[in-house]
Amino acid sequence: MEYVLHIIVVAGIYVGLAIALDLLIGHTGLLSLAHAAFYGLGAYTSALLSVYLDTPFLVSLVAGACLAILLSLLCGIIVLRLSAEAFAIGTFGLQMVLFSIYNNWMEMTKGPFGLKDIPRPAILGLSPQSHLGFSIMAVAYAVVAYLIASRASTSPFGRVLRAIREDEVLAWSFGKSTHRFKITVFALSAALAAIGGGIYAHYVTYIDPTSFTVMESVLVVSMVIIGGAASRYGAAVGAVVLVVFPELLCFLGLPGSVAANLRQILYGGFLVALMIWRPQGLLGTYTFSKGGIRG
Amino acid sequence: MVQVLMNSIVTGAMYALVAVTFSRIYSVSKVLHFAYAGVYTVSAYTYYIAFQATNGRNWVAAAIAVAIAGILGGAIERLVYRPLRTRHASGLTTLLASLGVLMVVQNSIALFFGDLSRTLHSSELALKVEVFGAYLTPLRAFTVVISLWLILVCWFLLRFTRFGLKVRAVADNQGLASVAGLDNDRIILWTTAIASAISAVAAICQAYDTGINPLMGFNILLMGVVAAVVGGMHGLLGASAGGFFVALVQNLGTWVFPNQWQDMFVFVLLIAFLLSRVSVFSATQR
Repeated sequence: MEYVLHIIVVAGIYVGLAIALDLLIGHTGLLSLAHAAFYGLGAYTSALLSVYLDTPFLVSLVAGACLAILLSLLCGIIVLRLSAEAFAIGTFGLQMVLFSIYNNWMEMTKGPFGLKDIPRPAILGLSPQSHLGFSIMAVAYAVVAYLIASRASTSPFGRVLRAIREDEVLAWSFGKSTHRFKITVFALSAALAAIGGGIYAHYVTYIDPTSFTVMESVLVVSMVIIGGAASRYGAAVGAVVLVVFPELLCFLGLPGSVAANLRQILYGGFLVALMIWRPQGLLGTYTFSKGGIRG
Repeated sequence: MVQVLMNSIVTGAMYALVAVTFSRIYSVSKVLHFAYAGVYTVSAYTYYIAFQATNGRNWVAAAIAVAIAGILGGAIERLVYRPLRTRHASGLTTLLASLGVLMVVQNSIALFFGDLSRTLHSSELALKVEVFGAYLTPLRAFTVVISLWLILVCWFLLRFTRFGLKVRAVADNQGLASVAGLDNDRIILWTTAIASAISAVAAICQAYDTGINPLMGFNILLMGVVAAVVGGMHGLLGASAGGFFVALVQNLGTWVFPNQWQDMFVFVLLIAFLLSRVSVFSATQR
């Protein structure tokens, strides 16, 4: 039972992350490779505050989100001026810079040794040792992310985002400040990712930089793409598939390192096959080629 | 100081070679070929195996590694990028497919050979010679010479041969090139294969210098991409200069700050350059 609850927690966090990233990829047509960096920013901020300053869980969580918003606004103003491909490379640079900070700022993050003894809060009065509280919270996180995303996509705000995706110059000529819309959605996505990171940090009670590499960013991107960008349930389905599917591999009884590599090989192969035969993903309707960013 | 410069020139030569081949593939096929890193790593491992299988005949081993790299690069273009191109996939779709290929290749290597580094030893190459107060090994001198020579060969191929003319035509405008009767797919295939084969040379040099591990290609490709972006994706000279510049920034950075921060400098540099030269990619936007 605890094992099932654990998978629910992990799946809930990834569903939230994937939905947050889909706001950028699917709704606005921007490929960000810095998602794991913001996820990590939330995790580290929240963990550091709790460990060193003993702040309550929710305060640390919100602090992480605020920092992510701040950073994404700052970077958004810079990198969002660029073309779609340059944006991908720019966020990639941002990912590498943040990872480098997590990995090297020994005084604060303990670098590769990781932060341990992150307090695990009691949720809804349930014992901190039980996974039940966290699984409820992770599911709630995923649902909130979903609600925000669907609210954003049906509102006038979402219509402008889709207009940017399809034809930015047109949206601009209608008097929409496309730059500001893009910055806003970038910040929203980063804040959601940071909250996911905070939940993750307090759940596992130990974090190290390997959870926030560029490959983690690529993993979340593949979740969105595999499920189908810009569709109602696409990102969520993609996340669940990519979380649950490798767990099945565990039952084959392969040694840990082999299973990890095999998993990555399967992800990669799946991604390539999907891009060739079904670029819109399992449930999706939108592919990048419509966005006018053909190479 | 001289040592810093010397180190910059040696690593810069490798970055330059990677940046040149990566940007050539990009300019002709418009693919941000991240799977390049996989090909690079495979060629280093091929060399390692061939070197042992042939009892240390390094020229034979090098020839095998170069050939395998060319074939693998060509195969990725033929089996992944070409189908995507015929389907009019976007640049970002292709980028994701390329990352998928990289994941497969990189993890296959880790699966068969393990994550640990392996080193190649050669006593005659490790000999240190003092030049202008800085240490230089014959291997590192060889790296610089062969990299520069290969970049020159690329330049010559592109500038003075019929094949180079065709490559430049396709890079300039795929539609016009095919109207003029060029077989775009074949030219892209050959360019990718040749660029991949050339990249194997850098891989072999690096294998001697720092050893081989499954992530080596990825790490050097990051620097190569930054170099290509900094120097410009459209010319050989720009990409090579970018390679040396990135290496210089890295080495100067370590002079002032602790070693482990050097990657951060490079990526801050990347963002700064993206900012100041918004037009880096613009020529391919239309």
